[in-house]
Amino acid sequence: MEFLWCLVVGLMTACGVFLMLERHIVRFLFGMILVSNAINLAIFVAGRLTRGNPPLIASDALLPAAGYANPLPQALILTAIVIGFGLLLFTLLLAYRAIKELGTADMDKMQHAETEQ
Amino acid sequence: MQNPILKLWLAFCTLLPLGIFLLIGASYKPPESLFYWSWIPSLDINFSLRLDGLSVLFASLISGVGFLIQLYAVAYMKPYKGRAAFHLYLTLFMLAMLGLVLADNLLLLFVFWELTTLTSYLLIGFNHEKEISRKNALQAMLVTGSGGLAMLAGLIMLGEMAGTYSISAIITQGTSLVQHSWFTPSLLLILLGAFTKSAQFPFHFWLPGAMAAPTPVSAYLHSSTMVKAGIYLLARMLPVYGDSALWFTLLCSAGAFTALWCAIQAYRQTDLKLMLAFSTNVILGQLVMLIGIGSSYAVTAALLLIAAHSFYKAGLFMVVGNIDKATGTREYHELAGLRAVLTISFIAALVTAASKAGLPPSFGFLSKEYLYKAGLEFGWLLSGSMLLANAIMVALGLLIIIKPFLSPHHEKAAPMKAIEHNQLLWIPPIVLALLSVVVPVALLNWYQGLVIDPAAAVMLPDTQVKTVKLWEGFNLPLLLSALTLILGIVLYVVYPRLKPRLDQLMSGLPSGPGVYQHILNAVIKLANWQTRILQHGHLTQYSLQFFIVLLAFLGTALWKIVLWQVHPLPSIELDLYYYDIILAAFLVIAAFVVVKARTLLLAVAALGTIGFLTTMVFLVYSAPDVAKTQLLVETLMVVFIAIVLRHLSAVNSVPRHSTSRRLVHACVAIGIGVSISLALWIITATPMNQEISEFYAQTSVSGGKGRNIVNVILVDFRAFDTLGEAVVVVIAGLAAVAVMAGKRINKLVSESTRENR
Repeated sequence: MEFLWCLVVGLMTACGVFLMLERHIVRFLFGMILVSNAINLAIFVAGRLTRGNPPLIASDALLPAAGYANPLPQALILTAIVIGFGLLLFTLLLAYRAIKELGTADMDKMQHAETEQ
Repeated sequence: MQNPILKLWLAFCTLLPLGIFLLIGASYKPPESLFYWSWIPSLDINFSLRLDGLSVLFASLISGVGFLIQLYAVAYMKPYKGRAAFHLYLTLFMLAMLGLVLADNLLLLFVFWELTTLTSYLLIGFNHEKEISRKNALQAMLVTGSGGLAMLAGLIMLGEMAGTYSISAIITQGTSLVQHSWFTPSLLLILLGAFTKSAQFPFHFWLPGAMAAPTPVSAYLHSSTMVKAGIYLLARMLPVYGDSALWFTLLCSAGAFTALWCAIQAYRQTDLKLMLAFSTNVILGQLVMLIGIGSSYAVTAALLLIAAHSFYKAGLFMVVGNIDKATGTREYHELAGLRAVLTISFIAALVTAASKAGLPPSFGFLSKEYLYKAGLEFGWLLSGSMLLANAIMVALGLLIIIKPFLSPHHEKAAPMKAIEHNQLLWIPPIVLALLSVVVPVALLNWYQGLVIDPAAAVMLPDTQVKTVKLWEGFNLPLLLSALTLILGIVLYVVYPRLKPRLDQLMSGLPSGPGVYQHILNAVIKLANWQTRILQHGHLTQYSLQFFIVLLAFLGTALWKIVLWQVHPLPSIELDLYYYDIILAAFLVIAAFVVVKARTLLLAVAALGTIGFLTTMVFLVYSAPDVAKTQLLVETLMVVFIAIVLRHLSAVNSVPRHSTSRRLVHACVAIGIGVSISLALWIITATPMNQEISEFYAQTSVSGGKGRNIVNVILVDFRAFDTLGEAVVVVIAGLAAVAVMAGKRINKLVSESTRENR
């Protein structure tokens, strides 16, 4: 079943990259969201997929049930999702500000970092 | 000299080299003394200094001549502004040079090597108001600096080959490194460093250019110290590389050619200082050749020549400095009858020029005898070219004495003034002149025991060198010396007729500085061109470049794996349930909808769908905590984008890329997608190391007192990571507020809601 998700991750990344190459800054942003989702999934898949056996320990046991899902990538992705959200929030407002200040959402027209003296 | 602080400073700068000179003399116990401080032990870099026969020769020349130069500079630099800084630079340079010849670690040696380059830049460019000074200082720094970088690579290769960076340990391994495949590359790279520093052809041109410096600098850097750094390095490396045929060929050909070529150039000069500069090139070439020969005679000759040249060349430079001071010019045909005002300088010039010309019993004569002895062992070609070069030296020696000092007054002669009331202007050259005679006549045994024997033992560990004698009876070298003198006198006599012819002959040849300037201009052009190509200011092209590089990296790595069958491709297992396929299908459809959407609202809706579908995936594959987080974050994200959406420009407000450009984008995107799929697929098929996950699972209850392993990892095992993550989100939030620049979020929200009503 990993193979299916490898394909899905690849397709999502391709869509995301294509969007990140667009001229509209918001579409660039959407591409970034898509890529970050795809990469989270990729980390998850790389840690192997397990059905119906979350890494939890029963109240009367010291170890999780045999064949438990790999907890490490889950912890990593959890962190990644939260940080990704912070990044997205910041980029979104940055894009908003850029559009307001420069009067265009065209990335190729955002050329002057500083107003020329 | 009114300022007492300046007085104190000058005294310190002058006495420091003297102190170092005495210290070296006191602490030197043949065969070697070691001083050792641990510096970066993990990288095998120690601050270790070694004082053996070879370094004691160089170190005492540097500090001894350094003392005389500082004395001379006190008098010479008097009218200059910033003379305190000048003495500082000179002192710093001397310390760097001392470090270079004492370092017993390859990387330490490199550090000091580069320090001499930097400090010499300050010295050469001291008259920085003049464009020519700045230009030539930069030229010297670029040439020697780039050679130094090549040498760093060579030294690292040498250190890796030998398994140690300690020079003394490498030398004990001797010629055993010759089989190593890095032997030749490291040899070539180190030679590049030594040849640039010691101004060998075709890098010789920076040395005459460096004559833009004040004369004390030329007397110090360009006679006895900096340019000898390359010679020192070659002498050090002789036990390692000496047996290689390549070493012999390269050093002998480069050295002999440099000597001959620069002798001819020196012959053509009319500026006395430039004449001396080119003749320094000649000596450097001879030294390189001698080290290339590497026989017992050659090593002896080199050890004699290094000291002999330092004495007479520094002395002659100072004399030329005095001539310059007395008349304001260094062009010899504007000089005449200077004997009247520069009496003591004239005596110094007489003795040092005799040593330069190689008249017995001077130091120069002695080293020339051994030069011929070494050359004769290898046939007539080497000795013949040396004969010619030395004959030109004789002619130049005559010229330097006769033209400015002895020729009768003529109408073109510049007016002169007496300057010798300042003793510091003539004491240093006369001391050097004295040394040029006293050492070979009276102190030869002492020099042999203290310098030649220990230094030769370092350079040629297996050979015993013969005792040097000033007079060895009538033999072939003596005959050659006589021949040199006669030829030199002939060359001096025909000089007025030969020089115009030579000038005519040479005028068509490309000059060193010209070629250097061309290369420099080409580099600048290349830099401009690539900046225009890469830094064009179009953001989407930057992204395209970024992704193309990413694709190239991913692609080459996978290319190796797939095409060269480094790793057999895994088999495809499809144990799928219907909901897997439904989730996957919807995810892919939603992703395509985001790409195709022509309104932002549809794109946001599709993105939200992707988020929630991903949540489902996490849920299906036993990751409830991740699913929960993803659900919350995804909800928040949709809300945020929806709030801002109204203020963002519509999709159609921005023109799209051309179709062909989008085709390129599609190819890049598909390439990256395929690479990621392939990489992930290969990863999932390789066996996984579960060690860390198992550790967390086993210690979750006992160590973390928790039954949700993922939670325990986040808040216990990796608590600091989580703290960092929380900080990142807080900072992102604060930064976002700052970006809004006073526009309150709630105002933004209220505006949105009002509009929607």
